[in-house]
Amino acid sequence: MSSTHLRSGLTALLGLMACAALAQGGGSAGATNAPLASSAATIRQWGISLRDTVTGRVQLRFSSTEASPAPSDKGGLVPALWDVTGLKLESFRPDERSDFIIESPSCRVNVTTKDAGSVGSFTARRETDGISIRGYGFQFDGTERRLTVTNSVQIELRTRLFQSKPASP
Amino acid sequence: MIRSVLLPLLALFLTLAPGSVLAQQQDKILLSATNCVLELEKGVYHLWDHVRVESPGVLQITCDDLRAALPQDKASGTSGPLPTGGKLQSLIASGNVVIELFQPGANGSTNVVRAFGKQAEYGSQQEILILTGEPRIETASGVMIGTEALIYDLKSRTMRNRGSYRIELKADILKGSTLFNRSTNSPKSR
Repeated sequence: MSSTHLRSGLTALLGLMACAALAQGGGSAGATNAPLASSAATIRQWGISLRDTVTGRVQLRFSSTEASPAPSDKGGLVPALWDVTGLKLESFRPDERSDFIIESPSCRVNVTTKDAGSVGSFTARRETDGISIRGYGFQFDGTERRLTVTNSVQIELRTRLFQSKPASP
Repeated sequence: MIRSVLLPLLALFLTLAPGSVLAQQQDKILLSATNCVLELEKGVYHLWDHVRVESPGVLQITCDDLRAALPQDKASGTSGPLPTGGKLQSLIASGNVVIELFQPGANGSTNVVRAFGKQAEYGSQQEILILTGEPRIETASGVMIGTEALIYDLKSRTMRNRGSYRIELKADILKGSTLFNRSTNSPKSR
């Protein structure tokens, strides 16, 4: 078997693993199986949508420019675990309107537990009320919609602390 | 007697400037800290270690721990500069709380009122700021020290207290005052 065939085979296998992981998490995947020259275990334009098992509505959508399966502590590959580059994580409200969007240049995603985390930088924002967050070292719990930051965070709220009093005549 | 005169004097100092401050306030609040846990759906934010809350040009709060509630309005739309969703409902700052209120003074200067305490609590319903735990407020004219709580009403812009309090005024504030310039019965020196 030539190296090109081997790469195609490996990439297809990875795509299959992603689908298997999604089947566990109740999601659907869409990955472009374009192999990179540098590594056969990298998927470009990786993306997964996780849906509510009851309503079928999209809850979370992970997408990234590149993703590769992350090794476990024992050295083997874990189907649900991905090291991704250029993550965009979009969470949705029950009515499927966009809620928070979290972006990170590099992080690890667990599609089964719906978690994402990194020791590096990240940004988060919500368009509807203009909240924006940035910092270093984050862990996002997709089930609880909880964002934990461990190494510096800055939050900007587009709101007033106090309501202004109308000017007296 | 003297307290009844001096307390309104200090309260006047505290309450005169905020009118213009409120007019200037910006629709932006910056929170920063080393650590935080944000419950994005519930709108419950918990920050700790080197916490800073800043409303540019209006106030700054530093503390060890901060809990803020910004419940998300499910029905909030996307238009308008200040959506009802994301409105700060409550804020509890604790541990080495320092609040600095910036107030424009004469000739473009800025007066700073500083408040210190172990805990500060803000509720949007009543719009009051309650300072507890050896509360102390410092202004250019003096210091107000409470034993239990100092309460600043943001609606009426007035200060009140719970428990006893003490006011220490700087001597400068009485310069030129007619308060003590009274005639006495003592014979005039010749």
